[in-house]
Amino acid sequence: MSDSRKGLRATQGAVLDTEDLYLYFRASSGVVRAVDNVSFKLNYGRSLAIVGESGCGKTSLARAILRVLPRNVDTYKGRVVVDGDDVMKFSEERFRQEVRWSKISMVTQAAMNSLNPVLKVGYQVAEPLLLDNRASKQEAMARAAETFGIVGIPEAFLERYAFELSGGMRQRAIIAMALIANPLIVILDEPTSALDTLTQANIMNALKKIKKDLQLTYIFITHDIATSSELADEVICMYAGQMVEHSKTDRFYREPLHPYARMLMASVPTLRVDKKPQFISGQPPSLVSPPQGCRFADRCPKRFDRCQEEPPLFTHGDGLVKCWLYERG
Amino acid sequence: MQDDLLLSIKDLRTWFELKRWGFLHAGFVRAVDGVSFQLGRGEAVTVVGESGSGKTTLVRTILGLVRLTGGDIVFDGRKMSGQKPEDLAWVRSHVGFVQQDPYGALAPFMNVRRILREPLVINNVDEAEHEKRIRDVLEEVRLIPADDFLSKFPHMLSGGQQQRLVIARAIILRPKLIVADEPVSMLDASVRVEILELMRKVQASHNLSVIYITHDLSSVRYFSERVFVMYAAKMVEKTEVNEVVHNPLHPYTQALLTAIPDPEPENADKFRDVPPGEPPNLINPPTGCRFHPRCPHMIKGLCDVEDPPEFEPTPGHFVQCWLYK
Repeated sequence: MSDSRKGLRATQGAVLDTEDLYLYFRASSGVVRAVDNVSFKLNYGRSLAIVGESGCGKTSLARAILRVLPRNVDTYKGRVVVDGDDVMKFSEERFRQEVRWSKISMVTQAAMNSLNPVLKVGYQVAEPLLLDNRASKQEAMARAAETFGIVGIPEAFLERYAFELSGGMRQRAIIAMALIANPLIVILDEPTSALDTLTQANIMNALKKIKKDLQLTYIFITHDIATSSELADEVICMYAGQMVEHSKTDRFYREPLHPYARMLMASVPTLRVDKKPQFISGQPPSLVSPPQGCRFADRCPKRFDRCQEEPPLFTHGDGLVKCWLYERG
Repeated sequence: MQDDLLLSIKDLRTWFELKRWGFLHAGFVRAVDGVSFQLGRGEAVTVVGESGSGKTTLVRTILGLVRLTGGDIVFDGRKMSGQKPEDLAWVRSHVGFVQQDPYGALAPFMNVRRILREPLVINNVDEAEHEKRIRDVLEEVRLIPADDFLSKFPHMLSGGQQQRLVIARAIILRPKLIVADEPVSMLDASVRVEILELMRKVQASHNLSVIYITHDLSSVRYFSERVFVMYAAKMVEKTEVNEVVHNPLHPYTQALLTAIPDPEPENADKFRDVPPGEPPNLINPPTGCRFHPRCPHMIKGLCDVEDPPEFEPTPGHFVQCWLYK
């Protein structure tokens, strides 16, 4: 890792600022409100974990930020500012050239199984640099070798095919692919959930080291609360398409604000602390016709009259929480 | 054979032969290689291991779905070894199976009533009893009121409800043993605990034996009294849950415990001290102890040469590791 790459980065202010982001899909049952008015700011070099249960809109939020959208999009609006540029104003072509992969890249879920079996791994990792002639073949392969070093793959593996690599190595190759264009933000969507426990810990170690060395910003999406604490400086908790809490890790893993986040934390089995995990009864609401007021109200033990109305985001200490309990700060 | 033992497994080996090239024999995948344990009536044990460690093959062998290569399985006083899978129907009528992916395990074109009736029909349960048994079992897994669920199809149920239905199907024949293969790994955190509690309750009320398979060591302590740890087709450590958490002996178990985070804000600044590398290939496993290439305590000339037998350093705590000779 050369110093010149590090020196180019701005380090002040927000690397990512989303405001009123909406992403709705058309489905046979109606319009699915997958991401429903999400706003957050993330500073350079900070890691953000996005946690929530399946179907709460975590992955859709990542797709909305990276503008990787399926065909059935109904509404896609809001403001996304990346490194000072309002990228929602960019055309698709400009976004592809200037933002996707060069500023924000992504490691998708179970991506290790999506390597092309008939191309050498090194070539696949170098490919983002070869598009639009961003680099010559030699430069790209040299960069790939350098990136392999960063993620901990022996350089000889550049010449191998995907089937010759173990699961952990394939996942590292995918991470190398996300790092090769030297992005500011890497979105990690469940990067280790398909891996074994020990391999998972090894990859987490590698990701922590990369973050330190390259001053990267991670957005780490996971349903596994315990693993989320491995890579987070701050946490966003999502429920039914909405952001219900945004807190620093110190608060979130000790005493989260939102009743849902609190119950979610209580449901996590712990290895070393002897506490009985609790469960949340009921189910999340349908995203086609979500309830009028607070979306968690039906399952919430602290529900009161006010919850029939949708709560705004209240500031509480250095956290933000979407719950009427915090109306008075 | 003691009466309080339901299942007794000795030196079990399940190998799969690789594709032959004419007369050339290419070798075996040794999916389970020399596993022994005993399971009492009404007892719950957990088998922990990573993917490819042989835990699923182990239960498939116990269920009589694959033929064992060597060793002995005695289920409820009857020997299973040497019988063909088709002759093992008697085992399967006494063993309930809870699959990992509830949606994949339920036929999408059958409604709840048909799904639950299927095992009764196959095992010639008196037709007059069907409706009552179906309703009783739905009551037991808390899919109530039963009338609301009977005509529903699997896709109309939530993940947690589907898994309840799978459990209902597993217990409807009143089995002696339940085998649950990662029953909660596909479910959300908030539902997991609920399903584990339900399984515990069902186990206690029917005095069932349960073999619970998982890769997630952190949920083990809420489920069973004893834990078996598998690595590369071997059972490397067998002991009580508290022993595993507070006094793990095998270097592999120790590494597993180091690798598992509890949700704490400090984690982000810590590197975990886990051995590098990946589990070995089971076609050509390393000689000696299978963990030795990754083991931080490897004794040269012993661990890489000779397979460790089972030692018992403290009563009831078994470990296959030369450190405890």
